[in-house]
Amino acid sequence: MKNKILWIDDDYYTIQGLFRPIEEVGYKLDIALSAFDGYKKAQKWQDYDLIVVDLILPISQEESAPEIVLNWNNQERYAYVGVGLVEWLLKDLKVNCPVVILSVVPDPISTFKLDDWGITNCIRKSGLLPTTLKDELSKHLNI
Amino acid sequence: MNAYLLGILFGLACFGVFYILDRIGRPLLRGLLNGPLNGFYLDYLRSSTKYEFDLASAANNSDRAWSSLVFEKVYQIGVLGVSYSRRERNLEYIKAEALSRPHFSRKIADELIKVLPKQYGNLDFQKKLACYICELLSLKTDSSMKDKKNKALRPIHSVALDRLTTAISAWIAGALYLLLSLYVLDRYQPVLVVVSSFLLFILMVIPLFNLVGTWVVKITGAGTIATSIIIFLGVFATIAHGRTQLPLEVNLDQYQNPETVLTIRSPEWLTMNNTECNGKKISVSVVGKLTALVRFRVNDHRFYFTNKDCVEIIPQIEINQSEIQAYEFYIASRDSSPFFSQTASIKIVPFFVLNSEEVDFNSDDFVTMKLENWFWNLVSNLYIAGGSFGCTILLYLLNYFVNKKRL
Repeated sequence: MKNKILWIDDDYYTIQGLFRPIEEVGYKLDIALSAFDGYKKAQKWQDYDLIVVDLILPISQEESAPEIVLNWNNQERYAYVGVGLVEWLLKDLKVNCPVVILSVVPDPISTFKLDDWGITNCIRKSGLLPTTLKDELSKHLNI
Repeated sequence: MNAYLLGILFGLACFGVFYILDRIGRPLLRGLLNGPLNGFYLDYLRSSTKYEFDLASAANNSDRAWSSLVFEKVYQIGVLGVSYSRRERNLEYIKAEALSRPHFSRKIADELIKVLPKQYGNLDFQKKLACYICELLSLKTDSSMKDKKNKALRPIHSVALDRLTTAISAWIAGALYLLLSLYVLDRYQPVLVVVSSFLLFILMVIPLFNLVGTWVVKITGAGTIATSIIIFLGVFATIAHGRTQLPLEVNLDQYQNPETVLTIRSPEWLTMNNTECNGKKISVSVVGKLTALVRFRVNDHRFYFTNKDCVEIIPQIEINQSEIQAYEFYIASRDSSPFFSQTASIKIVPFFVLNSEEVDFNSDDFVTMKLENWFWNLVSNLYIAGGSFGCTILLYLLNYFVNKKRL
């Protein structure tokens, strides 16, 4: 048991209370505030029980980012940066832990045709309460 | 000046300051925070949104929790230092969120309209924003949506911190009003004090009073009037009560006439009526009644009176030393205050001399009595502060019951 979750979301500071119930049962959060940050941290995906990704993300908070990350900002290909990140996680990096989309974007799986990517779950942020999130994520964690 | 009149004046001042804060101060500060202090503003936005989000989540009010985040994104779009890539991202977020919150579309549009003129650095984005505003405004909202919106906007009452914030705000406001009122009466430059107190008030209180519309503390309309009335009553009560009912008894046993006890019911206040700086005549009245001959010194002018309520004296009169019997007051005089027309208030520090000795301002007697007076001033101020705190509790209760009823 790693008891660690990677959460890629630039709104972390404001909505960190969402994960409080999960933290209370012993999980630790590792935060990435941009797609590039998530890209770097996800290289060690084996350290995590779960990866939670927001779709509306900044590319990077630094000056530069690798080409692969910059491509996620290509709006003709990806509607949102997070979609590119999720594709990279599941198709290129082939992470073997659950990947959950936690975003305000409604129904991204059918909207962007992500059915065959192997996304574990897609949770709509809008109207989400901490207890509801815990219930949703507990399906993929040992809670 | 009559203490009740003072109460009324300062009550009106309270209301005026509230009004000014609401109409001028808040937009002014918002402008400052949007411009030179935008870093501070962004931090404030983020913190207040987090606070709002946590409160609403704890109260299971998900609608309100997430709408606070939407409005944070809206406000960020209008902040000078925010990059356009971030503004674009925020707009994407707002679009996605507004889909599930049609009952907020009008309010979101209203807020976006406010930030639209600030997009002059990127006209493409400005056009995009304008189009989206039109899109939002074209959405129909029915009454059920309005109900939903109103419900979401209700203050959260299940979390004590929310009400505590209100109480703290009111407490700071009340305390500052009292300080303001005391300083206006006690100092030479009331205008300066009024301005600085006002600025201090803005800096300390406005951030707690719903500065950016995130409803952290919602005191509007009837609530504002109620708050003003309560603070008015508090100031009225504390000034009237504290100033006129707190006796200072000075025992003169150790002095020449041990049987005489001088009792001044309102030791700090004398009023000078019809004061003319270059005039011929000054009349002095004492609040309360003096039971002994008292000699005064006002700047270089000396005068005296006995147990009368009012005497007239001529400035620059040299009182014959032989007339001095037992007591002398040093009056920390001040110029006549333009705030109160022809009437000025003088703060006096009582001290005593034996017989006809000249006053030595460096003497131990003087220092001792000054300290004693300082002590009584402190007691008086604490008393006033207690009254203000009582008013805060009243405000707290009123806010609680009013909002409870609204729920």
